[in-house]
Amino acid sequence: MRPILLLATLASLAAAELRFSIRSDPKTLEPLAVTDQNSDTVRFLTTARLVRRNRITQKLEAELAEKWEIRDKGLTLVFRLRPGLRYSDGTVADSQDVKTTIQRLLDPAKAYPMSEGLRAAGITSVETPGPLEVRIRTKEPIAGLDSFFEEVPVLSSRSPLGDKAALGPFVLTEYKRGTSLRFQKNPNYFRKPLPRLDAVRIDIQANPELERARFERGELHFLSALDADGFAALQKTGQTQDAGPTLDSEILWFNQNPGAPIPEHKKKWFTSREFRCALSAALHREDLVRVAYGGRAVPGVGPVAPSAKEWFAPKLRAQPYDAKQTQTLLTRAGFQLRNGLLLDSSGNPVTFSLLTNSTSRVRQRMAAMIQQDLDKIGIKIQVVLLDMPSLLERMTRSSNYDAVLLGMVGIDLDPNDQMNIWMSTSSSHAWNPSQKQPATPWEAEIDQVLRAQFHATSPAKRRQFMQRFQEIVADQAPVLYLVHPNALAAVSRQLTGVKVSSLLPRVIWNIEEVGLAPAETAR
Amino acid sequence: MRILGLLHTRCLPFSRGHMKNLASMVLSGVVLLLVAGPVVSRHDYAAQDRDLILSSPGSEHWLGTDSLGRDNFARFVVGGRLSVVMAATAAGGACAVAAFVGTIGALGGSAARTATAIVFDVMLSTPWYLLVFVIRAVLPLDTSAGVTAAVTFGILGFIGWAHGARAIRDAVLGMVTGPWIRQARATGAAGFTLWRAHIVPNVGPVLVTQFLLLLPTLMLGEATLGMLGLGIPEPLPSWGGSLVELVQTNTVLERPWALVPALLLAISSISLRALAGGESS
Repeated sequence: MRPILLLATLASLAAAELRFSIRSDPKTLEPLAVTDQNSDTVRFLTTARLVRRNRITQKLEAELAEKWEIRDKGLTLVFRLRPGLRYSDGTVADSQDVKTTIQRLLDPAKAYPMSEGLRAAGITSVETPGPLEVRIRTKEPIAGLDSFFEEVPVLSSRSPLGDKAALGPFVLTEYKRGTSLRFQKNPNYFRKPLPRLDAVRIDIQANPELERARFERGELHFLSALDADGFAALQKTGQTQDAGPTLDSEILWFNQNPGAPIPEHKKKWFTSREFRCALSAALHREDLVRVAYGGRAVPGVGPVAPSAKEWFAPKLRAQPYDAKQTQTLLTRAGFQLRNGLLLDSSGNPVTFSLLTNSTSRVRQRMAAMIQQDLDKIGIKIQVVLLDMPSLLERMTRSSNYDAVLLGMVGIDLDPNDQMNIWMSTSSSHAWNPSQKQPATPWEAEIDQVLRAQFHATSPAKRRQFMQRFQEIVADQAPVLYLVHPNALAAVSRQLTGVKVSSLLPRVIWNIEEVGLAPAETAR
Repeated sequence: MRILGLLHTRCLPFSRGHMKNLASMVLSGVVLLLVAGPVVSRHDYAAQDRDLILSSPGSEHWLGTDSLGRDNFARFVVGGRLSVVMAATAAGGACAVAAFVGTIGALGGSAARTATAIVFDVMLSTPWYLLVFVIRAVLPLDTSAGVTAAVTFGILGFIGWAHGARAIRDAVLGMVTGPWIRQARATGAAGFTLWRAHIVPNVGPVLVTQFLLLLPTLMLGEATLGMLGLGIPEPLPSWGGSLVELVQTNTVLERPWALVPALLLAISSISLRALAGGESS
């Protein structure tokens, strides 16, 4: 047996295996049920979509579809598939698989995370005039409908392996819960030549310090979710890459839910535009960037990050620190400073709690800085650190909180990605969720503008609507955008072909182009 | 502390008395530092100098500054005061409860003995640290940082009383059934006189020992919670909060002075345990 073992070991050494880690197990391996980033990483490796966004140019590119077009004034989307597509087990992939995947997502009995978006698009029929053509018809013109399909994996309707039949570059071969996932190259992958890597191993590594140490020892080939401290610590290795601002934001919002179990005078402050804008102008965003992020972020502007080049309103700027503006707005709203304390028009001292999660050191620093900034205008805040489940319970169930400091992750570049947060009817409309009617005129206008961009097929018209949306948010400040953090990664010199992007997944988005040089060559 | 005991009883030319004296001196030094520190420090523990973050020790900032530009020395001494005073208060409370329950367990008859034994077992075998998460989650959000800190130490004290109570129960039980108490009874001592003259003076050192053992346990408990972000809230400093910066291994190499709170916490804990060893002997 020994020679065989030796041969096996040599073979595994010779195989180009990419190794990286994720912080916890993927919540699901079911491609349509993905809600978390770790599951999305697995999905990205094992599935393929009709189109894929180039993470550098930010443009949609052909993937399973060799071309696509919008017809009938935006009412029909036609995909032309590549010929000869096959799943990892050899089963043919064609338009029938696209149709059944969309039908599964539209099935009213199922509630997949992607279903809501597709249903909102009002798809009336999915036709397959031939094995290589799919026609998707909608009731009304839908902007960015092709972008929806960037997220939709095409699953096999005929393979005996079901959803496990891979159309992506790799096939999942082993999953040890809490330890690792292993993947082998898919021999039937549609892109030729096949991926340069033979295999991928993802370790489950909860501790970022250990993750960093393993990268330094060469056991992991890249780290894609570094914070500013981790990035600074690895800079001396010369293997760090700052891909610039992400679509993510660190945000602060006040509870504006009329049914929240908090005192009425606080509700009055939090629903006051002057109060919110005054506090926004009292914050030193530049300091947050410099001190909490070591300069690896940009001051927060609004819901569309400046890195979303196509949709960002170029005239908008991050709210600068402006003591005079703060004073004017507070005075106009009836607040006055007495003995170092800010009092409202009824004489209540302005104090409130700021909740954030106890595991984020960066947020704790930001909270302490915000505490000091607001102390200077006579506002006392209690920083409350909670574990995430307790924090979510207060935010989503009891609504028993004053203000929250958290992050918002931007998944997709398309403006439709904003709708689940900003539509007043949405359960994720954090400051006042699930409204039956818009509580304020400006929320009604946001609803209207977002709906209008959803149906506008002209990109120029969509940009106009998105610009107005950003202006309303800047004017009303229901959410204070603090910073947009940069995408920080560390990539081993052994890896070739990596183009780190500020969009997710930052390092492996072009994994078929990534190669692994022998360690000696890399040095 | 077995290793320490081994060292000073067999390997080193120190007696328990010497160790106790040394521990007392170290602790006196720590107390002096914590009392005098805020007086001599020129900085407010909460004031942020954002243009001077993570600076090295110097004449202006004796222990440098933290990641928000706050004076490390000011935070260290104020945090130390807070940790020690709150831990001592919580330990005192826990010892009072321990004395009461332990005495009931010893003198209250077989039913009380069984009941207290069950309570001790439950207390000592339940992961009470979860209680910290639960109570911190349900505290009113406008609870001040000081009250939150007091509640945190209160919970730690609650977690810690059972060890002491069991020791006291055993000590009292040993005494009331021992020959010299029987002898005292035979000479006519009874009731309050028996307690005042014989039991309290002998249980006292056990109680002091338990206090000295519990004090560092609570200080370390707060430090652990501080590392998890659930210790004393901002802007109040604490030794546990200072340790958060040590999570990154490069901090220790690049800014070794950040280790001072950890070292002082360790020295104080060792000294308190050494004192406890002296008391129990």
